[in-house]
Amino acid sequence: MALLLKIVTPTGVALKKEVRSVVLPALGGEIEILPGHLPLIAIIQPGELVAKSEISQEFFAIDCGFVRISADTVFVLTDESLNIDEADMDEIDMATERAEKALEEARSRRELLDPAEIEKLDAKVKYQMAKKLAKFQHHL
Amino acid sequence: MKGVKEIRRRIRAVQNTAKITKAMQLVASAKMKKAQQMALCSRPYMLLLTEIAENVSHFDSQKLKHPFFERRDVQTRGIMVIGTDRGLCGALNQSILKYINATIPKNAAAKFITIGKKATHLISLSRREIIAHFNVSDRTEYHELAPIVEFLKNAYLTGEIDSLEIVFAQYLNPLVQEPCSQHILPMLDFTAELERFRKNIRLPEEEIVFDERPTLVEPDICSVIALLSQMFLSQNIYRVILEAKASEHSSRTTAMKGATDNAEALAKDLSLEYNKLRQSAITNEIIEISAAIQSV
Repeated sequence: MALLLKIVTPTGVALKKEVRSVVLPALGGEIEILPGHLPLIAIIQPGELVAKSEISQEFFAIDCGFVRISADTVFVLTDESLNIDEADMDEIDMATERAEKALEEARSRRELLDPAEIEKLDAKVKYQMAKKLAKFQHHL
Repeated sequence: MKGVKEIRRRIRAVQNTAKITKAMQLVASAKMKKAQQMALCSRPYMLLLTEIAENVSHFDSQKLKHPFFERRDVQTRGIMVIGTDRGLCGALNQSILKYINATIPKNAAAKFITIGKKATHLISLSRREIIAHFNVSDRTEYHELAPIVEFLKNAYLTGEIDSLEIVFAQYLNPLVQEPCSQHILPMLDFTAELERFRKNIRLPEEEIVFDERPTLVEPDICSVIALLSQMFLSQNIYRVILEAKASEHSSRTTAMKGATDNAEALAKDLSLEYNKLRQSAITNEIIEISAAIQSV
């Protein structure tokens, strides 16, 4: 029994792989999906996805989106995803800085930007932080 | 000898123009490939999103209360027109305008949202009401669309527009782009949409996942629908814009190829004329010389 994990972003299929289990950052907290799980549609928040296979595990930082579990397939629909092992720490640092700066700017011009926009920038910062944290954890 | 010089100058000018149009043709065709590639890459995302939406739409319709999914009386149509930012792309923008004039009467209650400078210009010239205009870059990225989506969402929710259609040039093949209109809001029949989409991209049967057990939803159906509708709207707009970009670039490629061919033909004609003139000048000179020799 195995799960088919697929991470889909607007720029393409980021990952398609058979795994043993998947840990996802659902809105209510982390959930682990094992084969035979009931069909589920859940909102996911920016955070870390762990794809566990028999011998190894892979870590991904993902943005907010959806997960659909159906007949032993786990399809993750997200705006962005990043394989932690391939990520470059400096690049993440820079991206985080950029995102934070954009958020700061947005907050200072609140009257020009609508709250939804700021919320989105906020999500961006969270995603960047998730990337950074995930990377940090697995390399120290 | 003045004529010869003039012709020579013209030949050079025409050849230079041909060089420029050739370069533009190459750039446009490279951009077209990129846009097509991007459109292709976004397909799995769109498919999964539609599948999730279809899945959710089977839930108890009592709970599916979201303005995006409700049919309402259309008083003001919202029409988003996607044109180009720059010209020199054949009759693309004109044919879009013609399409709009043919399908939407001038006195109809319709509000326009335009993307691209040319579209804004043409629509405002035709005296129609534009409520917003946006520009997107040539390599449109997903996050660039956030302000557009936000604006459309608000306009729809506040009742400024009661439906949303997008008019753009559909990419049929590198030579043919046809203006068409696509209905976006309200979203009504996801099952049909999904069927059409699957057929469109020729999804193999075995890739369709089916599970007959009841589906759970987390955290609750309302928040799922709220997020889903938002993502669906953005993705739909993203997809249409990518397609419009592919059309724009392929139209420009064709237009520039035509221009290059014309310039080359013109240069050929001109050099024929130039050679004739030069030949007659030489002949004249020889006649003069031989006449001079004769007279000595």
